[in-house]
Amino acid sequence: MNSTPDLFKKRHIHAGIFRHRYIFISVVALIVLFIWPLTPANAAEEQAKIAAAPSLIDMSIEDLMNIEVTLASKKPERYFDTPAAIYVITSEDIKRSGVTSIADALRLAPGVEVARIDSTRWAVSIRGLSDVLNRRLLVLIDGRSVYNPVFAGVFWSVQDYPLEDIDRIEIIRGPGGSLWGANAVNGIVNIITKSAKDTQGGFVSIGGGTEDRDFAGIRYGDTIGKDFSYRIYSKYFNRDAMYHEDADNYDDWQMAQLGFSTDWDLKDGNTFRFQGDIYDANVGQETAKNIDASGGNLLGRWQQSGDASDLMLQFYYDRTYWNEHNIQTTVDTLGLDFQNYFAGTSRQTINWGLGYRFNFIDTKGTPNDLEFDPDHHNDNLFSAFVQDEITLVKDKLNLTIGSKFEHNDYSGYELQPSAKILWKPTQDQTIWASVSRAVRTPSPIDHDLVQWFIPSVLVLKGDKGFESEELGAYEIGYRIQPVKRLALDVTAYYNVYDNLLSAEQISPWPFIYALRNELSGDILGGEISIDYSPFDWWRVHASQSIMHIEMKRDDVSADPSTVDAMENSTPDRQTTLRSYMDLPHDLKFDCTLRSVGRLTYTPNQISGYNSMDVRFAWDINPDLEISLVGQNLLDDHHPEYNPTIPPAVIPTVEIQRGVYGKVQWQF
Amino acid sequence: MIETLRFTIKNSSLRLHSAKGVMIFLILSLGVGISFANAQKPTDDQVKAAFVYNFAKFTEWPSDVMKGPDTPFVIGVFGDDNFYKTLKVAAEGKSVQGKPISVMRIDRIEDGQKCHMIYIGSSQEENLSYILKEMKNFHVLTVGDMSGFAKRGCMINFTRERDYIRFEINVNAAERSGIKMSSNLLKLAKIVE
Repeated sequence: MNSTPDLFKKRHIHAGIFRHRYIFISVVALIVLFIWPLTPANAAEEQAKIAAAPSLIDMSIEDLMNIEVTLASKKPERYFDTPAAIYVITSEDIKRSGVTSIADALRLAPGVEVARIDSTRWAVSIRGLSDVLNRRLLVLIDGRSVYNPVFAGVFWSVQDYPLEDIDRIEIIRGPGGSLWGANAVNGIVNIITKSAKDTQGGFVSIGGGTEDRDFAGIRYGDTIGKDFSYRIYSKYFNRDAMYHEDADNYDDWQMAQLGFSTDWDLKDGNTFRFQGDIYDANVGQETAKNIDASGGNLLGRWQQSGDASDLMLQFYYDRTYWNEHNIQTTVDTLGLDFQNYFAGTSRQTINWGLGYRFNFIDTKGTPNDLEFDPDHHNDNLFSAFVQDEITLVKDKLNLTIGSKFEHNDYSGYELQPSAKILWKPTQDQTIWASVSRAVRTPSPIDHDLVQWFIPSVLVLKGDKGFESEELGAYEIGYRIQPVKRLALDVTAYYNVYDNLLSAEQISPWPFIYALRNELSGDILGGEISIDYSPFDWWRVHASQSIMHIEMKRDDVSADPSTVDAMENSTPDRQTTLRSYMDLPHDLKFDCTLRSVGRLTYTPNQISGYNSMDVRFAWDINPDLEISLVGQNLLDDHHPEYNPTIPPAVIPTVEIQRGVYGKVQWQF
Repeated sequence: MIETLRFTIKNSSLRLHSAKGVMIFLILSLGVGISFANAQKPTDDQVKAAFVYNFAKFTEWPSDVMKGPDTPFVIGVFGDDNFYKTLKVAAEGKSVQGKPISVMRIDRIEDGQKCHMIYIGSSQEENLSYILKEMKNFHVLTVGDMSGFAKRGCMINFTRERDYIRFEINVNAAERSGIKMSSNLLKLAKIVE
């Protein structure tokens, strides 16, 4: 240390000066920009502008129907009064961020940790405990669970949809309370597609670039008679491999998907939706070990909205086929859900429901490598929930209590109660707090896995005694929207985990490790997000999340590495800054800046990184748009995550800068 | 634990690289955008406010609620403060069938009964059935702003077709309340039964 050359020290000082100058100028610029539009002069201008609209009020309805309005896809206000840490990614967010996959779109929500492992894989977590399987999240697409029951996780590579036809993605950080099923432990991702009524006409999108090499999508929607609408779509993409130091570019991949959605308006507030999708993917993974993945689903939902109650009945069938070099799995799932919502008295609304899910699981493994024992399963899952929302003081104070009851073939009965309180001191403020219990129920991977890391020497085995992982969660939150242009959302949580997965050595030779529930720990963290619109033509979003994870082994445990992996595979801080700008001549300029903390998991350390995405679009006419998107512009390539568990060693893949162009046309 | 958190917060300030990023972000943002505040399309709230005024013009209420030339024509706004502000600025000072328009924000459902017309924002999705029930025996024109509201009993409901505002009319709901909508409205609306 003493021998540091002087030259180096000087440079260091210089960097310091520059840093302060940057920070200073940034802060001044931010203050000017953010405060100026709130000044009285500006408010008056604003009033004048609204008042200048009277020309509109004197127009006839025929003329009004021909006025084009801005797509201010405002967040539905009902989320403001939700006693949970909810964030909604709108279709406009998805479009203007320039993302090309659902997993990358999740980066738009605060408190969600998305790390791209290579071109085909993402580690997604909410509020910590990130791993490649994302075990503790519930992910739904239109009410259909895409949680893979074999691996207890989500294969993000094959969860796709035409992004233009996604209406919104609701993200709940924290356990979903009594409404949602098992595995909604750390959070819920609820992807909701547009109704067929909202996707009428033709739509074509085509583009290509350096990482998203080429992609295309087509959709057509129409109405038959007065009450029946449909759409059909098809999409395809071809993505390049990411950066590999050893030039072993194995992770390029292709996927094609097609599907349909129909909406039928029946009499008396009855609606029926029927939809389905099929896909086929060739997912690049390690040389000559490509994964052949395919699947499909069908879903039907009947809804009745009556005077004082709502009914919903839904069924779905899903098939997921996943063929890796050493294991092949087929999962057929049948799901059936019923929900009823009614006003008990003027002070109470009751929401209750029943669910049944059947999984038919078939696996074909490789002995002495990776297999499941037994290799097939018929699993039943029964669930019920009831929730009562009680108005204590009208429009001021609400209490919601409820519980989910569940029975599964692995851990038997599970009870998941929650209590939430919501207080509105004024119209523009919400304060909420909640206490809840949630569980991650066992899957075949926890009970039946046999994975040889070194053939005949080192094996990791599932254990029939593996129990549910448990969470007790305490959350508080505050929202305020003092003026139309500014909204602030702050949350803090304290999650206490018990019975977490550990690997315990149960035989000295060969080395046999078995999955047990011998870890516990807690996570303390918080998120803050600000939405601000200095002008009608400019919107800014800023968010920051922080957390501290502390895990420990129970006295009986000798787990060698899981504590380290759980504590240090999630960044302890993330910052996002996003800007959407509507320019004259129908130009749009959007920019996202992201700063992510480092991962210190001993075998796979990843340094922190900053990245910037930029999108520039031109609406040539209301039906035709061209756009140019740059992703990860701040460096040539950077690593985000390496999921490898020692002793296996796979070199870290780095995420590359990418640029693509796109044309979309509706007719 | 608190010590550690504080440490985390301190370290989370943007480092040199990000500061540069922020600068690039600001310069790009400012450089391309700063002077173009005007030439905007109207917001959907502004256009909807104009629609609401037109709905009032082309609707006939039973004579007992239109009595007294000096009493105002009251439009209540439920669950959407932004729309309330926009409508207030746009419509107050205008008059409907000889009555000056007054726009009020509704906090208690019962207050809706004093209005000639109420606008129900999407935030009230879960209360809609209850609100409609409370309005049932009064001659209140209900205007909703969320997909499905007309089916559920709102007399008029805003919809959207690409970048344009459209509306649907639930004829039965209007008939039940004794409110008559002119053919001008009916021919432009999508009729829902």
